[in-house]
Amino acid sequence: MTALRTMDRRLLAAIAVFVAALVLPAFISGYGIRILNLALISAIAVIGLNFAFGYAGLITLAQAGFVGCGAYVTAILSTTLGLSPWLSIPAGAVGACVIAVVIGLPMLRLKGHYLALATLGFNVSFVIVATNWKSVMGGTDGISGIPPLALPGWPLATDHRYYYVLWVALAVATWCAWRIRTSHIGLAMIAVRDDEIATGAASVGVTRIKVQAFALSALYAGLAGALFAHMTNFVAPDDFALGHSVIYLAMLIIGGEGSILGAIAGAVIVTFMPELMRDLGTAYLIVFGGLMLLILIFLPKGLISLTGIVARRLGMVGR
Amino acid sequence: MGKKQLITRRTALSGMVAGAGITIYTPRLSAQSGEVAVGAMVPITGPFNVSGQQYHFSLQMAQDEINAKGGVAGKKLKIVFEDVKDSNSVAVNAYLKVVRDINPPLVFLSSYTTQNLATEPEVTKAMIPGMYAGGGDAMHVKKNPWLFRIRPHDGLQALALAKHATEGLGKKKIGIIYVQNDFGQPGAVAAEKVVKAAGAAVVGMEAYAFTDNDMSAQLQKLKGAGADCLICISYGKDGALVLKLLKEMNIDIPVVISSGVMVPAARNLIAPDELAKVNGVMDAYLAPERGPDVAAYIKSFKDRFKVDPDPFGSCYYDGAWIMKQVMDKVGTDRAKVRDGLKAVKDYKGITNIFTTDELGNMVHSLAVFSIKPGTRDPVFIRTITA
Amino acid sequence: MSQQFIQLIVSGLAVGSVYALVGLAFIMVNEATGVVNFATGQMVAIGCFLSVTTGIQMELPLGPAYALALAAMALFGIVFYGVVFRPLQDRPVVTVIIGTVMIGIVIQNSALMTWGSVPFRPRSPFGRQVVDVFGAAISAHALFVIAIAFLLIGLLYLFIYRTAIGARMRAVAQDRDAARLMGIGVDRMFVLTWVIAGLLTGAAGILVGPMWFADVNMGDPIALKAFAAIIIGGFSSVPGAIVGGILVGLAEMLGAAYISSAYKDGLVFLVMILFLLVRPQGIFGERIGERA
Repeated sequence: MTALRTMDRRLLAAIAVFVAALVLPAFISGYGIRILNLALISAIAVIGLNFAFGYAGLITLAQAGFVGCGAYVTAILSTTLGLSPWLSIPAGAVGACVIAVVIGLPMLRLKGHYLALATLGFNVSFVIVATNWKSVMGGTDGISGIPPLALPGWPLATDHRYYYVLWVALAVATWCAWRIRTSHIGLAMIAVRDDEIATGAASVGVTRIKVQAFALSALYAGLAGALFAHMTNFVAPDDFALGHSVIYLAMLIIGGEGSILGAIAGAVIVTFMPELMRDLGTAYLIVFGGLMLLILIFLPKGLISLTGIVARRLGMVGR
Repeated sequence: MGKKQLITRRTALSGMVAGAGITIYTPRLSAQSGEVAVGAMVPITGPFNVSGQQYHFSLQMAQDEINAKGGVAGKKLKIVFEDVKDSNSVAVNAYLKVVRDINPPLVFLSSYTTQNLATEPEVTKAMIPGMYAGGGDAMHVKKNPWLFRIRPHDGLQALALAKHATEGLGKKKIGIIYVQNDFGQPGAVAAEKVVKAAGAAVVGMEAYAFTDNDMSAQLQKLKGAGADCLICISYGKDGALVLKLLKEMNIDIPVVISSGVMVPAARNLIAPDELAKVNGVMDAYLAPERGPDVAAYIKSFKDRFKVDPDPFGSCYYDGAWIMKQVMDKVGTDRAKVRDGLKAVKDYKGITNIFTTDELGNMVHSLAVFSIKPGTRDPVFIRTITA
Repeated sequence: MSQQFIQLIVSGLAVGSVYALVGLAFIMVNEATGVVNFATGQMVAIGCFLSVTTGIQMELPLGPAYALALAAMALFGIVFYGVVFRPLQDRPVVTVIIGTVMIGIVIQNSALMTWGSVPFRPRSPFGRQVVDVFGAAISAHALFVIAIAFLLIGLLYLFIYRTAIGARMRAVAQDRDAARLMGIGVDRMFVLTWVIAGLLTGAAGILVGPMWFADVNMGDPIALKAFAAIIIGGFSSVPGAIVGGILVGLAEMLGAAYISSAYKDGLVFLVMILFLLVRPQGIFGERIGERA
C-alpha cells in the first residue's frame, strides 16, 4: 500500500519534471539556455564516468580526453569529409569508445593512483597531439565551421531548439544507464569494485569487465563531445584539457558517485556554479575551490544524499 | 546526525536551486533610457589578465573621456565588462550573457584569438558588430562582416619581422624560434615564406611549448645550423627567457622579436645587456614625442592606473573613440554601425591610423624598434606597411 | 658538438634536479600519509613568490630572504595539514585527489590576487655569472641548482634513514596503527611530513625563480613533469625520484635537440605511460601488488 503510493508520487514527480523541462525554454534567454545545454552535455559525460568510477571504481582522469575524441571525430567527419552530423555524432561516440578499448586493455591492469596518473598522461597527450597535429586537428586554432544539426526543413541551429535534442539524448542516456545498472553487466562492475581487494589478483574476467566499464564511459563521453561540437560549431584543444577531467570527476563526487541522478545533479550544479559567481571577479575561483572542498569534507556521499533528507522530511519516502 | 545539521543542508540545497534559477531567469538589465550600453569581453581574471588588465583600463578611460565629451549618439556611454578568463567556453558564455543583459549595439571582443574563434558563430547569430584585438589570421579568414580588428594581424607582424631581418638588417641565414600555438605556428610559416621571397635562407625552425621554461636545446640547434640572425615569435615571459638564454649561452647574433616582449612589463624582465642586439616590432609607438594627444593619453593613463599604457590595450581606447564617431553619425542601429565601421578611413588614433579593408582589418602597419644601448628604452627605426 | 652536448646535459641536469626535488616532496607525502598531493605544483609557485616578496619587494639580502621564505613554507605545510589533510585523511584516494586539486585552484588564484599576473625575475646569488665547463658556457645558477638539489636530497636521505625521528616516520609510513600502538605520535609525524613537503617545494620554487622567472601559473607544468619523473623512477623511492627527475630533464633537452621540439613533452608522457604499462613500479620501486 505504502509502496504503491510511493510509486505514484515518484511517477507524478517524474511527469512534473518532464513537463517542466519541455516548457522551460520558453521562459529562458539565450544565455540561460546555453548554460543549461552545457549542463545537459556535461551530465551525459558524467553519467558515463559513473560507469568507470562510480560502479567499477576506476579512477580515471581521461574523461575530458574522450569528450575531445568524440568532438574531434565528429568535427573532422562533418567538415573535411562533409558527412551528415546525424552520422558523424554516433561515429564520434564510437570513435571515443574504440580508443578507450585500445588504451584500456593494457592500462586497466593498473590500480588506484597509478591508473589516475596513466589516464592523466593520456589526457595530456591528447591535448599535445591536438595542438600539434595541425593538418588534421587544426592546432590551437581548432576546427571551426562545424555544421549544426538539422531535421528536414527544421534547422536545430538555435540553442533553444538544440535544447530538445540534448534533452532527448540525456533521457536516452539515462534510461540506458539505468538498464545497464540493473543488468548483469552493471552488477558485475560493482562486484569488481567491491571484490577486487578480496579476490586479489585481477583475473581475465575482471579485466574484461573493467574494459567494458571504461569503454561505456568513453562512449558517453564521446557522445557528449560530439553534441558539444555541433552546438558550439567550434572545437579547440582548450576545452578538453586535463582540468576538465578533474571537473567531471568533481561533478560526479559532488553529485554522488554511484548514482545516476547524482551524476546529473553534480553536472548541473558544477556547470552553473561559475556562472553564478561571475560577479565575484578574481575571487571567484578561490570561492569555487573552497566550496568544492567544503562539499567534499562535509558531504562525503555527495549532494544526492541531501535529497534523501529532504524527501524524508516531506514524507515522500514512505516508512 | 543532528537536527541542526539537517536544516543547514536543506538550506544549502534550496540556496543552490534558487541560485540556478536566478542565473537562468534574471530579468534583462536593459540599459536605462538615455544610456548606450555596449559590452566588453575582457580577460579580467586568470593568466590572460597579463594583457587583459591594460584592455580593461583603456576602455574605462575611454568611457569616462567620451562621456565628458557628450557621450555617444547624444547619450551617456556605459561599457559593461564581462570576464572571459582563459577559457573558450567561458568567453562564449560571457558573450551570450552580455547580449541577454543589455542587448548591445556593439561588443568589444577578447584580445585572444581562440576565444574569438569560439565566439564567432554566436556573433553571426546575434548580428552585433564587434571590435577585437586578437591577432590570429584564422579570424579574418572567416570574413565575418560583423567583426573588425583594431590591431595589426599576426601575418602582418610575421611579415614585418621577416622583412626587417632580411631587408632591414641584411641577414641571409635566418633561424626562427616560435611558441607552439595559434600565434607562433602560423607566424613562423608566414615569416619563412617572406624570408625566402627576400632571397635569404631559413636555416632552422624550432618550436617550444607555451609553458616551457628552457629553450636552450632549440637555440643551440639554430646556432648549430649557422643562423646569423634569429626571428623570435613569442609572448612576453617566454620571449624574455629566450633572450636571457641567448646571453647565457653566449650566442651573440641579432634577434628580431615580436611585440609581446616589447611591452614595458616584459622588458622589465630583461637586463639591458640582454637587449643589446634586439630589434622588436610593436603595434604602435606610444611615446610623448609622437604628438600632444599621445602625450596627454600616456599622462592621464599613468596618473590614473599607475602603469604605462601598452599598445595591446590602448587599441581598445581607439576602438571606443571610433565607435563614438560612427554612432554619432548613424545612431545605434546594428547594421548601420557595422556599415559605419566598414567605411572607416584614415582615422588617426593614439596607436595607429585605421582604415577598414575587406577582411575587417583596420590596421595595416606596425613599427620596428631597436633598444638604446645600456637601457631598456626602444628607439624607433621604421614603419612597415602591408 | 661536444661542447653543445655538455650544455644540453647541464641544462637537463638542472631542470631534472628541480623535478627530482618536487617529485620527492610528492613521494614523501604519499609514502608517509597516503595522500596524492595534486597541489604540489602550486606549492612550488608559492615558494617562489615568497622569495619574490622577501627578496625583491622587501629588498632583504638573499640569505635572510631565502630563510624567511623557507620558514613561511614550513608554516604553509602546517596550514595545509590542518585545512586539507586532516579533514580528508580517511577518505578514498579519489576524494583526496579532487580535494588537493581544489585547494590547488584556491592557492593559485590567491597567488594571482596577491602578486598579480605580471611575472617577476628574482635575483640569483650568483647574479648572471656564466661559468666555462669544458668549453661550454653554463650559467652559474644552473650549477648552483644542481648542487643544492643534491645536497637537500642527501640531507633528507640521512634524516629519514639515520635519525630516530626518521625511523619513527618510516614506522608511521609502514603501519600507522602499529606505530600508534608503539607510542609514536602519529599526528606529529604527519605534521612533520607536511613541513618537509613545504620545505622541499619551497626550495624548488626558490631555485627555479632566477632560471624560469616567477609566474603564478608556473606550478602545473612543473608538477606534471615531476609526476612523470616519479612514475619512471619509482613511486616510493628516494633514488627513484632522483633518477626519474634527471631522466625527464635530460629527455626534455635531448628530445628537443635531436627528435622534435614540438613533441618533446609528448615524448616524456609516452615514456611515462610505457613505464606504467610495462613496469608500473618504476625503475627502483617495489612491486605494486604489495601495496594495495
